[in-house]
Amino acid sequence: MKGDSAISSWQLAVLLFLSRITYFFLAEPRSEGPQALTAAIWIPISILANFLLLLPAYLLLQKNKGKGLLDIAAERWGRLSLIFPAGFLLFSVCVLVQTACSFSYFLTSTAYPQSSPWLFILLIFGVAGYAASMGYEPTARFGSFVFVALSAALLFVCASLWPQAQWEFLRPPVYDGWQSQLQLFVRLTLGNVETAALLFLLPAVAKNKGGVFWRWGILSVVVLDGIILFAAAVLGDYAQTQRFPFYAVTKIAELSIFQRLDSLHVALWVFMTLVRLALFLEVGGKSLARLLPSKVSRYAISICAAASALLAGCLTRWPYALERVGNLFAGGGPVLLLTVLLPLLLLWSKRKGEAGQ
Amino acid sequence: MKKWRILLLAFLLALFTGCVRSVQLNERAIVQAIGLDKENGQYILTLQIFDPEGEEGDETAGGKILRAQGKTISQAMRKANLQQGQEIFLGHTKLLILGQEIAQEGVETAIDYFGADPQFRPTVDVLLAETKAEDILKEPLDSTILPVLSAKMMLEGYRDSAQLVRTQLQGLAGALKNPAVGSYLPVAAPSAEEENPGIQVVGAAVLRNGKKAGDFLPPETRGILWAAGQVGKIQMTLEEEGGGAVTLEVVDASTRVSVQIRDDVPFYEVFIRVQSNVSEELAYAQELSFSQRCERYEREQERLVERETLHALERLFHELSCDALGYANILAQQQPAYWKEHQKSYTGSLEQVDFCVTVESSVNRGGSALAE
Repeated sequence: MKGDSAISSWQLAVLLFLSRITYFFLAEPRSEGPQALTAAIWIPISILANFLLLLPAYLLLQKNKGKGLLDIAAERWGRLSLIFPAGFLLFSVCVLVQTACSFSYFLTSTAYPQSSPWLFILLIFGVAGYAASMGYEPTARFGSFVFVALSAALLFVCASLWPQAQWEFLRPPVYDGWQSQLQLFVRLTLGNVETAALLFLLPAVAKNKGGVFWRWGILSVVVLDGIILFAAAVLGDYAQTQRFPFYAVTKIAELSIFQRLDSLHVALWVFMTLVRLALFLEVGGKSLARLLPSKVSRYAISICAAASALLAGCLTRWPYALERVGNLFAGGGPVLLLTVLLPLLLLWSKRKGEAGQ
Repeated sequence: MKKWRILLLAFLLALFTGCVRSVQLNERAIVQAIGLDKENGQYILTLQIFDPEGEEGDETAGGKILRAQGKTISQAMRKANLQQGQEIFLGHTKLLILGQEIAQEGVETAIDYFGADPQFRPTVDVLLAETKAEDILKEPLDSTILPVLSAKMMLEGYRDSAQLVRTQLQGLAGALKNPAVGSYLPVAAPSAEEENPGIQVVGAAVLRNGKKAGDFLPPETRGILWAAGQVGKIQMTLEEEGGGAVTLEVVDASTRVSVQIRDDVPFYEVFIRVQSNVSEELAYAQELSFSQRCERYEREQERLVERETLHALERLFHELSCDALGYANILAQQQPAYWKEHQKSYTGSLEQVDFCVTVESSVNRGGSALAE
């Protein structure tokens, strides 16, 4: 593993933002789910809720500057601390598998219908594994380029489709019952897997660690709200017929001589998926390295990438198993455990230890 | 060692040129327009295929016609594929023309089929043939390399004169998903002129639940466009009883719709703003100054737009019982409590729906000082 050098708070915020937005691009819409306006209202609220949930872990990291959660746990809990890397590893593998499966499903159902999902899964894990093995900095630099390209693509789509937007398609939140809104809130808050990645990667940020969350949060709110509302206004009821509404938006966006640019958008999403996979391979690989003997630990990212690719390839044949993984995350249990419960336990045990001394 | 790695990578790049099998251009049949008819329970698919090698002087130069039939659209498409011997590519299709029988039975199957095809563009224009789609595609349009573009330009001409209600595949597919709203399609027919063959737009068809519910004549279609807020840069001619006439060129138009509930029935308020330039005056109220004439044109324009819009709304809501304009979405947005309660009975109560139209018209008086 190379390059444990520090990255800036903006770079990490951009990486997390790209990862988050990839999830929304690839997630299958639920026609019976809440309306776009309801989602747009709950997104900023969920970011605030995430902030509150992350506070204990953030305080812990602030008290132990330069150390990550795994280091602090190792200091305090001894062998029991392996629960942290094991948890992060399992969590990352699930995210990697889910992302890769959604990505291959997207490509094989919309762009290249006659291709094998294995082709895409092996290729993307090969590249993402290489990117992750290079360390944070190259991935972060790559993420900056992708961010600029994404911004340009979104501006193009907005400029070309603005006259077609019919805002009457936005329904007020009263149509969504409180149960449905609560589920959405839980999915947005506790299904936000990037919060776990944030905690894991925060020690790699050179300075202004606290700024990462707000930068990432503001970027996510502005762009996601914009995209969700705009897609709903442009597509209207047509969105219900589409498995990937954002892709449908890019298919109809044309401006002057620039027509049928969906292939370029697909290429951009490949890059974004690459960023997400590299990000979680970093988390998974570094967690696995803690569990492996030191001689083998240098291959941790490769092992993690290979295992995830194998699992993802197999799971494309069992969509029900994949759905269960998705439901597990949507339920919020894994994020709650890794970002709130375990850090709280660690904080409590540390305080208890300090009080005993 | 590094050089060898780079060389190896370059070699690999040459091998991995794409994720799918490559298809050369000469192995592809590029479809420009599709016609779909139904006869005796069989789908008849007519494809206009780009054919640059068509013989010069040939009526169908630039476009080859391929006809296939099958029990399902997929079967007909597969047969077309076998007949053609090339891979049929739908990614450049510009027009989808549906036959009259399909409109009577319901367009949902056809729209679902083409909407699900990853190559097919959601922005493809959909037309309804007055009789058979095949007749329109077989009409020798033009001896250009891309006959479909000539057809599209012809349709644009109709649009500029506000005689065409444009419908794209995505709009139609969306309307079919929402049971409360209907949709409309332009109706095309081969022109009767032998010397100057082509296609002409002969009105608009209104679809309710995907099936044809009624027709609008070309002069009536402008009313739909006003009500739907789809009027672009068009020309309107106002005529005087004494024989005078003036042509106004609409430079900007917008429509805003709001809804209230009156006597437990939706009341739509349609507000239209029209801004025009005087394009040509022909002995119209010559006794008045230009400024005075402009004021008169404004009033006349207001009356005309109001009359056309009201007529379209009357026919759509009260005669055909069809919300083809999608006003139900506005009702759902602005009156959620009412919509929640009456959503299911909405289509059945369209005859009671009431509306008013307010038009604000302005005619630009650029250079009026000289014309006084």
